[in-house]
Amino acid sequence: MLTINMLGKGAMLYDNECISEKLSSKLIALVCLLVLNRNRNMSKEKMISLLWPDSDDEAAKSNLRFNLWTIKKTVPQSDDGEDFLISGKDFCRINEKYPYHCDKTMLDCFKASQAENIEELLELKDLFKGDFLEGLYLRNCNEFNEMILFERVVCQNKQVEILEKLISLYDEQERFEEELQILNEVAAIEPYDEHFASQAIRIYGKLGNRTAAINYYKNFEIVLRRNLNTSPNNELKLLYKELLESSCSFKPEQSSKDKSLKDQINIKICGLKDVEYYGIADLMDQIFCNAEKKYLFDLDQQFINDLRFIYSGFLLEYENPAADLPERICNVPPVRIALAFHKLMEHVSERYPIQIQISDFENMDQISQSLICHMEKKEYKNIKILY
Amino acid sequence: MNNDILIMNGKCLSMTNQNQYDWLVIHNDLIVDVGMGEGCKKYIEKVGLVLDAKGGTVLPGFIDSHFHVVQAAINTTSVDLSQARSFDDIGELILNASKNMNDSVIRGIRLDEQNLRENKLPDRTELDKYCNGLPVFLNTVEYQKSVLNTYALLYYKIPFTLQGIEFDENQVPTGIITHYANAFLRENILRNIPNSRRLEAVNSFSKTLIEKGITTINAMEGGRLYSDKDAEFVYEYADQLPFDIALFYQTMDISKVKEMNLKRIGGSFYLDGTFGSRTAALSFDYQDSPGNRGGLNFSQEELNDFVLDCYINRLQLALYTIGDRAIEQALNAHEYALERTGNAGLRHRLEHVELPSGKHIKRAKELGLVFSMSPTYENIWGGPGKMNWERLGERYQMTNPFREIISEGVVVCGGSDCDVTPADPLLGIYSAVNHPVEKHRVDIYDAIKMFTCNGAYGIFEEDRKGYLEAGKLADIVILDKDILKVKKEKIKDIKVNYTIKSGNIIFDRSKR
Repeated sequence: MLTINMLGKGAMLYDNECISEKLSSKLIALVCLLVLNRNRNMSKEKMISLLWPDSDDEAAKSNLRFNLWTIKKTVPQSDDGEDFLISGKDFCRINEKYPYHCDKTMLDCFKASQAENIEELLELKDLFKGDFLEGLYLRNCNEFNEMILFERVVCQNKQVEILEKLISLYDEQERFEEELQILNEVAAIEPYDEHFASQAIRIYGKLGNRTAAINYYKNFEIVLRRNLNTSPNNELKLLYKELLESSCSFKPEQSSKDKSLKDQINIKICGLKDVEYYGIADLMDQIFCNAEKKYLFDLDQQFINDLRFIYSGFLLEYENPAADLPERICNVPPVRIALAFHKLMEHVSERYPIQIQISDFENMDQISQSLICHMEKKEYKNIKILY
Repeated sequence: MNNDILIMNGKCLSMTNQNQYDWLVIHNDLIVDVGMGEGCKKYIEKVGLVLDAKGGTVLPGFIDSHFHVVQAAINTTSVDLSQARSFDDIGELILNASKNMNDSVIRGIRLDEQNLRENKLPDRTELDKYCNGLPVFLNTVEYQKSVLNTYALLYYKIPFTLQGIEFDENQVPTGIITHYANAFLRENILRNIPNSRRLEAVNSFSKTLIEKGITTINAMEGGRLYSDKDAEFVYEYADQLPFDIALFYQTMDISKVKEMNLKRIGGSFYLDGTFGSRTAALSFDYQDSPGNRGGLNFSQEELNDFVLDCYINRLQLALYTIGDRAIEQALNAHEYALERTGNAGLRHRLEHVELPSGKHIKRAKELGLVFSMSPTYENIWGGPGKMNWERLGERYQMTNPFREIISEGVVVCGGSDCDVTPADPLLGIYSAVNHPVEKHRVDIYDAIKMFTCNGAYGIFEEDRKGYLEAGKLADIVILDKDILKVKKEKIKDIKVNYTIKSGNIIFDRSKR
C-alpha cells in the first residue's frame, strides 16, 4: 500500500519501501498539494501558479506534465487496477478509490472533543516525526511556502491538543506514570507553561516521589529564569512551598494541620557537671546538625550573637573569622544567653518536632539544668523531654 | 635561545604608589626586575630581546572586566544593522551579505525599529523581497525580538504554539517573533551552533583584543539572551585562547557552578533592563515615557534568597544593575546575606551600576562591593542631547559618577561590555577621563587603574596581575605615546605597539 508522510521530511513509501528518494522537492510538493485538496479537483492552473510561478506558461505546463507522469510511473496501480491520480485536461486529483495511508489525512480527522480512545491518540501522537514537510522550501513559490507555514501551525496545535487529551485521559484513569511521560513530551514543546509544570509536580506527588517533584520545580524555575528572567507564578510557588514543608511521603492532596512541620529531631544529651552550659551546648550542637541551617539563621541576629558565646557552630559554619567578633561575643551575661536559648528553642520547634532524651540530668551543669526545667515549664508545643 | 626581554626607554607605570620606572626585565613568564636610568645596561647583553618603548607608556596588560566573548565573536560574522534607517537599508545590507558571506544563514544584529522610517519592524514578506535564497535571522538591538524571512521560518524549528508568534489575518506567521517564542528560538539556535564555529569565531576575534592590549577578560557567558553552551565552551576552551579568561557563568544554578569548580557566578544577571529600552528600574519616571519607571526582574525576597545562597556557598557574585532601584535592591540583598552569614571578603560585584546615589555608594563601600563599570557608555550615550539625556532628562548628570565612587573608596574596575561597546580599554580610559559631566571625571591614573590593578582585584588576581613589579606576571602593553602627557582628548587615539602575555609577545604593531 502507498504511504505518504508529511509530518517530518516529506516521503512516499510503497509496501514500506521508500519510492521518493530520487524524487524532486517539487514533486513532493505536488503530492502534498493533491493530498491537501484530496476531496476536490484541483485546477492545473492553480498548481502551476503555486509551484512554477516564475516560469513561462509553456515551460510550467511541461513541468507539471512531467511531474504528473513521474508520479504515475512511480506509484504502482492498486490491486484493483486503480491509478493513484485522476488527471483531466484542466484538473487533477487523487483517485478516491485508490487506497493509501497519509499521516496528515489522519491528523485532519482528529477532533479533540470527540477523542476518547487512548490507543488511537497514541497512534496519532506517534505520527509526529517532525514539522509538517520539514526541510522543504521552494524558492520564489511564496504562496506555496505560506501554505506550508500555515499547515505547520495547524499541525503543531493539533499535536498539543492530542497530548493534552492524553494527559486528561490518563489522569482520569489514574495512569500516572504514563501521564508523566506525556507531560514530559509536552514540556519539550511548551517549556514555559506553568499549568503543565504544576500538573507534573502533582503527579510526582501522587507517585510519592517528592525528590523528583522538587527537582522538576527547580529545573522549571531555572529554565524560566534563564530564558525569560521571570520566576514561576504564585500558584506554582505555593505548590513548591508545600512540597518543601511536607514530609518525605509527599501527597499534595493530603491536608494536615502540621503539614509545615518537618521530620522530628531526636536528641540525646548528657551533662558535664563542672562545665557551664555544656548541656545546652550539646543540645544546640545536635539541633545544628539536624535542622536546616538557613532556617536557624532566621533567628534574630542578636540572639545568634549571644549564643555564639557558648556554641561555636554558629561561628564555624557561616562566619569568617571577622576581626570584631571576639569582642562582640565575650562576656555575654547569663540572662542574655538564657533568653537567646529559649528564643532558639521556640524558633526551632515551630518547624521541627523535637524529642530530647536526657540520660544523666543530675550530672548536668546547673545552668543547663535550670534552662531545661524552664523549657519544660514553658510547654513548647512540639518539644518533648524524656528523662 | 635566551627568551628574556628587556623593555627600556619606557614610562613604566607600576600602578603601585604612582611608582614609575624606565625599564623592566622579563624572564619566562614573570617580570624579574624593574628600575631607573642606567640600571638596565647590565641586562642588554644578557637578554634575548630588547624592546625600545621610545618613551611610550608601559602598562600592565589590560583587564576588561565585563565582556561577552562568545557572542561578541559570533556577532563579528553577523550583519550590523545599527545604521539601518529603513526597510531598504536593511534589504541592502542583507543583500550584500548574501553575496559576500559563506555562511548558510544571514544573521543580522542591532536592528532598532525606532530608527526605521517605517516605524515598525519588517515582516517576512519584506525580507523576502531582498533575500529569499538563504535563511535570514535578524535580532533587534537588545535581542528581545527576532525577525525571520520565510526561508528562515521554514528552516528553523519554530515553536508556533508559544506566546510571541505574530500572525497575519490569514493566521500565517509574519516572521516577527517575541516573548516566549523568541526566547525558545534563540536558545535553540544558539545551542545548535557547533563549538567548532565558536572556536573559529573567538580565535579570529582574539586578534582584535590583543591589538588593543587586552590580556585578561572577565567573560560573562550563558543565561538569558545568550546560551549556556557559550559558558560551557569558555570553560572547555579557555586554555586555547591567547588571553586569560575569568568565567562568570550567568546562571542561578549554584550547584552546577560548584560542580564546575568555579569561584564566581553571575555577570549580566539582570536585576533590571537598560536605559535604551526604558526597562532599567528607576525611582522616577522616564523623561520620554511618563508613568514608566522600568521594572525589576526579581522580588526582593527571591533575590535575598539567591544572594544568601551565594554567600553561604562562598561564591563571588556579580549582579547586573543599571537603575537606582535595581542598585537599591542589590544592596538590600547583600546586606541581608552579609548579616546572616558574616561572610565578608568575597568581593561581590555590581555590574554597570550606572545610577547610584551617594547613599548607595556608601553602603556599597560598607559591604565591600566592587563596581564593575563601563565608562564607554558615557562616551556613547552620556551628555546633553544623547540617549541618557532623552531618557532621564536632567538626571543624565547623575549617571556613572566615577569620581564620587572612587573618592568614597569603592574599587571600580572597567569593562567594555563588548560587543555593546567596542573592546578597547584605551577608549574606556578616555571615556572615564572625559566624562561629559565634569564632576564625575577621574584623573588618568585612576582611569588606568580601572583596567589594570582594579580589574585584577575584581577577580582576586592582584597577587599576579595588574602591576608592573618584580614577581608579577609579565602581562604588559607598550603604548606609542606617554599617556600621562597626551592631551586628554587624544587618549583614544593612542595605539598599542606591543602586547605581551605571560612573557610572550603576542602583538607587535610593526609586524602587522
